Amino acid sequence: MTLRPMPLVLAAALAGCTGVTDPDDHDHENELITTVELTFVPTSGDPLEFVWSDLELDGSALVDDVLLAPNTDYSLEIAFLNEAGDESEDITAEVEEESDEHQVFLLGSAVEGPATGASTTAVFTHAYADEDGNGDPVGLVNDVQTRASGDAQTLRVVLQHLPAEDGVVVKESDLAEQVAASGIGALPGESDVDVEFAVSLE
Amino acid sequence: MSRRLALLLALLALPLVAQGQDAPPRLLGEPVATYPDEARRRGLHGVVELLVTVDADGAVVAVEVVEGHELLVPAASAAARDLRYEPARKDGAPIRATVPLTIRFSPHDDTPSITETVEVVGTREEESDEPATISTVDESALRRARGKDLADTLESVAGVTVAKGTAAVGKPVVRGQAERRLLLLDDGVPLSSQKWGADHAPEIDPQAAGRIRVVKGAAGVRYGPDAVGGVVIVEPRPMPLQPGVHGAVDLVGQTNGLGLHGGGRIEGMLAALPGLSARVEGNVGAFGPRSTPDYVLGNTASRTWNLGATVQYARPGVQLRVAYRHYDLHAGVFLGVRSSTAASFSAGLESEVPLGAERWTRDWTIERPYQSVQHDRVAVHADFGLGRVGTIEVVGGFQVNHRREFDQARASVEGPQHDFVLRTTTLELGWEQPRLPVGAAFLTGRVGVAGTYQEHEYAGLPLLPNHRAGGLGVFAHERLTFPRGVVEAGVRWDHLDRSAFFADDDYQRHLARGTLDADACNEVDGVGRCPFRYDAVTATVGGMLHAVPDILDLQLDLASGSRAPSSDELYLNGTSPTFPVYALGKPDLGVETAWGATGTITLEQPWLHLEVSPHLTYIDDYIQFAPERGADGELVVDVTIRGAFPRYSYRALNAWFYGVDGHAELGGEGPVALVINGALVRGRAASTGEHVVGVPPDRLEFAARLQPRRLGPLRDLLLELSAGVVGSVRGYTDPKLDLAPYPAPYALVGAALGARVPLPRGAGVEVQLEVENLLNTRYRDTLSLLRYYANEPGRNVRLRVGFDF
Repeated sequence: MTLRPMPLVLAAALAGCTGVTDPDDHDHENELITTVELTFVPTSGDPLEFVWSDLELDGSALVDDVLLAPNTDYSLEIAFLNEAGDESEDITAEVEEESDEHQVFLLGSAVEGPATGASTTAVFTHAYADEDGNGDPVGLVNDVQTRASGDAQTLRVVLQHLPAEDGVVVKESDLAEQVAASGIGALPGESDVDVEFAVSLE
Repeated sequence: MSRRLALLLALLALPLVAQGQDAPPRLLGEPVATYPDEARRRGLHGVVELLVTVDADGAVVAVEVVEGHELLVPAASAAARDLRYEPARKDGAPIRATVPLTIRFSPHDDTPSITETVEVVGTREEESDEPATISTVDESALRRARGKDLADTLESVAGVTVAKGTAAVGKPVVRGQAERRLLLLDDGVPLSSQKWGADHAPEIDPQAAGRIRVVKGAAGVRYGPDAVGGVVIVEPRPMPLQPGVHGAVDLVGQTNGLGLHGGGRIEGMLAALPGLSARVEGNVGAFGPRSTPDYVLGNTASRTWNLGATVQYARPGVQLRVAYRHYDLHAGVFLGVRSSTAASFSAGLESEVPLGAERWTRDWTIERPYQSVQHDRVAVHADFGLGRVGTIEVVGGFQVNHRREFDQARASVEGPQHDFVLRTTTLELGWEQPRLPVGAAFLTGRVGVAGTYQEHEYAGLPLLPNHRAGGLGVFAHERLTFPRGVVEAGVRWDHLDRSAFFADDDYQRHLARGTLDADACNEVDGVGRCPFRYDAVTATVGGMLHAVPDILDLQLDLASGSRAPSSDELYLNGTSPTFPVYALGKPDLGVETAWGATGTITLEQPWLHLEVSPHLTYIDDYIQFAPERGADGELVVDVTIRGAFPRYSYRALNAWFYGVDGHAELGGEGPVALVINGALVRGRAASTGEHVVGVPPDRLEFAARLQPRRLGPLRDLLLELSAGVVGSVRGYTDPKLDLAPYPAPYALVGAALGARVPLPRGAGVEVQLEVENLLNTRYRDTLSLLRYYANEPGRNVRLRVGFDF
């Protein structure tokens, strides 16, 4: 319960001193994420970067098509940014700091991994390559191995925020398997990010 | 034999019994009668004439009313039943006898005086009846509802339903109209707050009310803009008029949403400072999460506190009153709601038990997501009696509504995700003309002007613009009261000038989406500004006919009301905090105007009070919030970085609303009574006949009461068993207008037990036990936000102990 200095509130009301004509530009810290960056780092050669961004938050996102080389091992690093307003803020470090309450899930027809289960038509396989303090996967760093060939498919990247509920820790080691079995809707917490890319092989 | 004749005979008989060893009954001890609050408020004074039958033991065995005002009779009868007499004697032996008794009530005397002789004093005419259909929640009903929020307090009124959020607070719905279509007048000041969110309950503390009246239907002329669907008038307790100190303390405990609510008030006037009175009141409540019959509703704990202080100076001809109130709510948002991304929302609809329910506990901690709301309000009332020139009334209101919503967020995020501040100043100046006799009738009336100035500031995730608004209204209404009825007419003009201010990125976002008309707006120094103007004329014509005086009244009220679309309806653009949809305003919405007709038939018999009220309203440009669907019938979705959300948008359609509500009380003031409330309402698009969403299903409620006046030391006993049956809108509402199937019909059973123990000098203790959802029924309610996620709470036992002095 918050006790507020009432006379101040009243004084403000009566004086009407306000910033009504100077509206909030929403770019301060309020959990806003505008951009998802996927960086595929091959064992040799230049890294590939693909971006999903909606800086204006107007529902018209700019989405790069993900184009990967066949039969290649990549380290996939995923970054989250807030680029609304003038400055760019990297949210990834915060997610990492609270990795015991966050997990990235890779879904979609392009993927064969813990969150999708077996797939013969997927264009790449996915495995988590990082873990939180409890040894559970996080998904900011991943191992991806592309197949020899495959048709264009979709990759869905979900960043799930899994804060404790009523003091009970909800992040478990097998959440990805639960997603594979029951779908992403069965997860606790809420999705901070849920975006789709089109993926194809060169 | 008529009662008057009986009185006459009793009077004539008195001298006979008084002879020799014969004596009439003689009153013993201190009589105790309570001045009814309602009567005091209306300044009603007068006498009640009774015939009291005293048995050979001196006990009162029967009381018959000869004459008296309906508001005073119950208190007088109750007082008479409590009297003790020295029995009448005939030849020295005690006998049963009937004597006249007169009880005189005066607003300047707290304890009515009782005399044993008949005295004829003219009663002041009660406030004329208003033609509009008004239901009253009186002081005793308010006492029973202690610890509940405003909406639940009003639920006993026929035609009022509650739209519950996920927190333990809800919104009142009058004949299917809520939020922006319902004007809430708190101590004469229209409540200004964020009325749009499903979890946003009105910031009014019903514990401070002395009476709440509900005007059903449009009443724009009398009460101003927004009175499209009705008006809820919350009136404070009248201030004391006599020197002395009074007060009350209440404590309520409940089992579901385990918690305590305690409050008190103290008021008084010093004999040294006649006319100057003061009151301080407050309450505090803390409740744990509520539970359905099968699982806990995680994170639905809440804390609330309210504080009020009032000072009044009243002298003949002048009355000044200043009242300050603070409302504070801190309430968790149900965790099942926040799990609802669009994907888990759909998954949740399929499952009987919400996902994660096994983790939820009765923990009192409120964690994110939660809402924190503070509302501060000052009301100033000044009445100046100018004798033959009438009365000047001034009502000023200053209020600040501060709402913050804290979403689940990374631990590094400390502040709220949505922060709204709404500052509103209102001033109304009215002149009440003196009563003007017109033959056997008399004319009363009121003219006035009302002004309002409002500022809205928002910070947080993109959702709403800031705005600044100024409004002006001019009104006049006249009423002709004649012995057999009332005729009333009035007209009102309202003007509103509002500018919305957008930050550059918001402005561009709106333009890109086509949700702003670039021609109507302009951008200066990186701030987009969209003006909005509104002019409306509303009118009312109404009448009441006392068809059979004191038995049958017929009322007809034709009235209109209008409101400007609110800032959120025009410009909302973002994902809603408590509902997984992408909400989109419509900048070209027009003024919503209602034209309503309400008839009311009231039948009054000693054993029956019956009120039936059919109503019909046409709303021009009724604004509906519903999912958008493409030509193929599929939901339109908006893709955000948090996934794809179904799009909900505002749209205007012309609609008819019609229905009937009724209230019946059988048994009157007797020891056994049956109360029946029923309401039926439909809303349909005028062009297609399609049913409108958000209209409550039919409901019928019964309450059987045993209400003996006394039992040993106990007074006002009440034993009540109630049952409510609520239908479903399934049968007639298109399922495509909602995201989830409409809930099935349900029935709830409740029980209550209460009594008062009078103490010396007008004090008393009241105890009341109440069980809600006695059978622990599993159900979902059409108007509840919870229905998309979970069942409503199960059985709840409330115990209230009150002491007043």
